[in-house]
Amino acid sequence: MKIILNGKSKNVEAKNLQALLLELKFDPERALVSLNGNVVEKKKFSKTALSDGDKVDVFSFVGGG
Amino acid sequence: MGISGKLFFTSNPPGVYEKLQDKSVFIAGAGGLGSNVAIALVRAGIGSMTIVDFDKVEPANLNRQQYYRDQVKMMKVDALRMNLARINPDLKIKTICEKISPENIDDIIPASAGIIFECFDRAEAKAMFSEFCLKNRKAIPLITVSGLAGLGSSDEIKIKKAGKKFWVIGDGKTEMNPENGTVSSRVALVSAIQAHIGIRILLGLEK
Repeated sequence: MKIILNGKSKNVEAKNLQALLLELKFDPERALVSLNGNVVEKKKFSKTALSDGDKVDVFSFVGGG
Repeated sequence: MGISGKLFFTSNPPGVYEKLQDKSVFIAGAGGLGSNVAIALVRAGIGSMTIVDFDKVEPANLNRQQYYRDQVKMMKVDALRMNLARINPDLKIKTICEKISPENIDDIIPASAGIIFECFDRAEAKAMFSEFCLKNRKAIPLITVSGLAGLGSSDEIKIKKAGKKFWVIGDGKTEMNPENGTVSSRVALVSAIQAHIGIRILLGLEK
């Protein structure tokens, strides 16, 4: 399906957020994800299904502070 | 605060001290970022702050964190309280010596605060904390950091407005590890940007 990932159109295989992060090689534990403008809790990643045209923003944190 | 206390803030831009006196902020973590952010805010004249941290001051912290040799082994929140009180004894400070987890986060973060500063070191903690705040403390501006280790150029430090009330500062790539290390000047740079955005938000200057 085709989603809008961080503002750009992208074809992906994943059917849910957890699978999407793994497909895109993001570490789910370090990722902040919003789906169509709403932040999704980490524990709901695998239960959150993706649909064609969804707007997904993924931000991956880097350690240090 | 009496007239004598105000004297220490007279070099601020006009009105800054008066406005910041009524404001409170929440600082999550008292390491390189948190200790520097706290000191920048107290010098600007912030009225009250809450600081959370569960660590002790270690010798290896002193290359970049706002502690002193005679404070090694103290809890960071206790040492920071002392250091902030030396700058402004009238600061209202609440310290919480706990590790923030998904179980206690809702009790620890106040329902209202002028700003929330994310000053953790681990990426997983940053993600968990930001996720919670953006979902459950939507009305409070959140300023986070991602990527400040190593010796990269100052120009690589970017300010990203990632949401209506959400800022991310850093180079976005340089992880803290023994190979990269972390130098005082770069941590100070990032934490100063963090504090400055916070001050501007509190003064109504940041859109």
